[in-house]
Order: sequence, then structure tokens, then C-alpha cells
Amino acid sequence: MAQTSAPTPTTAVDAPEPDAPPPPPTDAELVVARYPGAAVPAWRFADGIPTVRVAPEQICDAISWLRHRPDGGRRYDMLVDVSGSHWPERDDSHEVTYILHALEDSHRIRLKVAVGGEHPTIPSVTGVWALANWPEREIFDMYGVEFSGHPDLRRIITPNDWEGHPLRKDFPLGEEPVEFQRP
Amino acid sequence: MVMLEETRTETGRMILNMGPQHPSTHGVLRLMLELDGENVLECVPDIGYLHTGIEKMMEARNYHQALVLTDRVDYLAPITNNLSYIMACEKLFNVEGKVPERALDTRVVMSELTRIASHLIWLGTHGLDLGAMTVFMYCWRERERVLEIMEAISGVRMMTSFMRIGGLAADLPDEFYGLVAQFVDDMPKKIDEYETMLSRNPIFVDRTKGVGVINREAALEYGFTGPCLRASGVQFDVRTNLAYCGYETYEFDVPWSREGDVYARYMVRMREMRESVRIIDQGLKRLRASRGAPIRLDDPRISFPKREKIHSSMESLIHHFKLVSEGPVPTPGEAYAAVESPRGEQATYIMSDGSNKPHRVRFRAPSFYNLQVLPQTIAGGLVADVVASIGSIDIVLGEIDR
Repeated sequence: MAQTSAPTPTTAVDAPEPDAPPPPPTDAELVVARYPGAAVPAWRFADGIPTVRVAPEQICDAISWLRHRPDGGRRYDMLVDVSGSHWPERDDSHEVTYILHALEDSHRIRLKVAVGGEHPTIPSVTGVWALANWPEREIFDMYGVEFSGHPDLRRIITPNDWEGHPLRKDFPLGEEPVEFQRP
Repeated sequence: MVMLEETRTETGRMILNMGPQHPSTHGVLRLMLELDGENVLECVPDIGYLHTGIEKMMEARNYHQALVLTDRVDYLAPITNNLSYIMACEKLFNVEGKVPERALDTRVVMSELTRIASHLIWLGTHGLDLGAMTVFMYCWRERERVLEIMEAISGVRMMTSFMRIGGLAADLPDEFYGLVAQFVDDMPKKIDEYETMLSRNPIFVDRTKGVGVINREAALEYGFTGPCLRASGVQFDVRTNLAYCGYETYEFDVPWSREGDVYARYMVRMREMRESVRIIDQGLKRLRASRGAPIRLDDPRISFPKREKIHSSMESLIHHFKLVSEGPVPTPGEAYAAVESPRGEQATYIMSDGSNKPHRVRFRAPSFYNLQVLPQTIAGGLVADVVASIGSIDIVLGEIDR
């Protein structure tokens, strides 16, 4: 990371030596400082990938910034995965997770966006990364999250006339009870 | 369902429906092709015919039960699916790094055996698609030996479900060492044999060189991983870049190429098989040396006690009962674990809400992303090249549709 003399947004509280320069901010800290309202979620990430939650309207800019890094920092060359999840007990019940990978030092970062409401909508990142096309269609299909600006937002796995979104928690699993008795 | 606009047929162009039941689409993939004579103008893939709802089903199983479903995601490489799921669980249960060495070595050897078996299926069907019948038979012959090794290990040829959280289901049987040693001995000669049939075969070279080219930029734009990405000039391999299960201690090369065409993907996979043999050879030496070492973490919260202990110890019986009836319970959180499957970065992403069942299990299926680039590969090509392109991407519909 080629960080120049830009002032660090967060200062290390428990620096070992007072004279030592503070460590350069991590990419997660830079994203938090760059986007108002962005924060590291209070949640356990057992895989150690740095994670930042940003607002839906910031996601395209955040991914584009991480990909191109106009500040000369570490570039993230791969968008590894886009996935959804449903947390009905949370206010913002639908969560979309983006994992990015930097080839230069195999560093990863995870961005999260959460939305709620009747018609959850998130801006599509297909304009930034063409790869997001199918995974966003899959999330639309499985969770009913709409992606504004997506060029081809159709169901991808279930048939077009399918009702409901199978991976939502309120969608029944559809097991039929087996009757072990004579009819 | 995909419907191309009806009006286009009025221009004299033909809309051809390729699949879903077409042998060279490798499963139930449907392509809508718009043709002008032999030229493909547009290609619209249609997936979902093999949707089994595995991700949904896993949310209704406990962590031990859900393992069995992971085999079915990518049914040509069940071991790597097992592995990524188990690694995600180990992260979630905070036991990553405590898994016994012998279990890790076995995982590596089994992953590489699976890689060879999967590449053999790819090579056989790819050759068959391009008119090379013999190579198909030869590949099946060697794949059978891998399946025999799997059967000796676990009793099952394909859906082994052999991994466990914290280790393995059982120790390796005695015949394993002989079978694998023989396989390691024979395989390089067999790969030479395949190469004599294809690598300089003028028909095969004509059909593959310069066909279906994906350059580096497009490969990164559309999310290629695995041999396809490496054939496009990006040296990214999860085994070396994000090493797991001790891959960093093995000596092997990551083959890559700059061309990005069907032939480059063929060559990368052929060389990858040779590297896999090298890894298996090293792993086998370690496994021979570590005979009798523990193969599973001894942690009553997550791993099953030994059979003998259940009969003699009350606590073990209780642990066993709790693990079978309730299953292990992690603290809330999430974990993403990636492995290098034969097709690319295969990852399992588990989110837990602190109950005994996963809240969400996501499979990052390499084929799903790799297939997405297909329309770009074949637009402007010939119908015959479509078959070559599909074969070279090496898709498995089981993991695309999940």
C-alpha cells in the first residue's frame, strides 16, 4: 500500500511506542472514513475478512473506488462473490454481501448492504462490474431484492411464473408429511 | 425461461434451441442461439433446470447432517465441496488451526485425487465433443481407479461425505497406500498418453486454438476463477494465494498461460493434473510417516467420540447422544471459506444465528460465474465452436443451479 502523507482518519489508541508513526489505515478504515454512515458491523466474522457496512446508495461508488483506487492504494481486481441473506427479525431484513479480492497481495475485503421494507431495492453494481449480473438476478430470484439499474432483472433459477422467493425465511421448505398407514 | 424476440426470425435468421437435454451441454444447460447460417449472432444461456434447493435444505439440517448435502453441489468433485463446508464450520466453531496434521494431509491428498478425477471427466467429454472418442474411454479407465481409492477410503465411490468438523470420519485403510502409490506411478504415463492423442492432433488443435478467447480483462470482469482464469494470464490459485490445509508446505507449480483460448485452458488443466500427482506423492509420504496419529480433533462439543469410548465411558455416550440429536452449536457469526476446486474458487459462506442449524449457507459456485462469460466467448463464432467453448469452461450444472 502506497499511502502518502494523508492524515489518518483513525488513530491507533494502543500504539506500542508513542514516537512510532501510526500504522497506515487499512482499506476498511478508509472506506469507513470515506462514506458517511459506513461502519464495521458489530458481528462476529470468524474468517477474518475486514468488513464494512455501507448505505445502499454508496455501494456502487464504494466498489468502484476499491476497484480503481484513485488514491493509489491497493486495487481490488476481483469481485469474488455477491450473495444475499434474509434476517426477518432485523429492521433492514435483506442483506447483500460483496467480497472483493486484491491480486497484488491476496487481500480481501467484504462490503455489506442492508435494506428493508416491502420492496427492498439496492442499486445494481453491474455498471461497475459486469460479473454482478447473474448473482444479482439470483438474489432477486431467491430473496426478491430489486436491483435498480440492472440491465436484465429476471428470475434466473426458478421459472418465470414461480411465486414467492424461495430463500426467504417465510417461504416454507415444502416437505410433505409421509403417512405410514394404510389409506 | 428465455424467449428471444419473435421478430428476429423474420429476417431469415434461425433461432436454435440447444439443450436442455443435449449431450454436449454437459448436463441440463439450455442455450438459445440466434444463427445466421453457421454463425452465432447471439447466445442466451438459460439455467435452473437442475435446481434442487440445496441452500434452502441446509437451513433445516444441523451442521453434521448438512454435510451430506454438500457432496451433491458439485457432483464431480464432492471432496472439495465437503472441504470448503467443513472449513467454514471450523472457522465458525473456532477450531481452525487445531485440526490434526494427518487429517489435513489426507484432505490434501483426497482433494488432489478429486481434481484428477474431475479433470479426467472434463478431458474425456471435451474430447468426445470434438470427435475424439478414444480419449473418453481412456479417461474413464483412470477415473475408475480414483473412484476405487475413494471406495477403499470411505465405502462410497462418489458421495463420500468423508470430512468431519475437526478432522475426518475415519482413518485411512491399509490398502490406501498401495493403491495411491500405484496410481501416482502410473498417472504421468497416462497423461502422456492423452497428450499424444490430443496436444498435437491437427483436428483438435484446429478446433481449439484461437477459439473462445477470453483475455485477462474480460476474465476479471466476468469473474473467472480456476484453470479458466489462469489460462487467461492471471496467476491466482486459492491453494497458493490463500493457502489452506497446509498447501503452503507442498511443492508444486501453478500452471498458467497467456492465450486464453480453448487450447490454453486444455493445456493448463493437463499440466495441473501433473502437479496434482506431485502433490499426492508428497502427501502420501507424509501419510505413511504419520500412521496412527490422530485424525480428528478431540473436542466433545463438535466431534464424535471414538466408538470404543462410547461403550466404556458415560460422558462419551452423552456427548455422542447430544451431537447426534442436537448437533454442535456455534456462537453467532459468519464465516467464508474458499478452496480451489477443479473448476475454480469454490467457497461456502455460512451465517449462524447461534442455533444448531445454519441460518444461511451460500455456495460460491465457480461454474456459475464461469458460465456467465459464455455469451461473450461464442458470439460471432460458429455453432461447432459453441460446443468447444462449453467443454473448455468445464461446467457442472449441479453447482450452477444448486
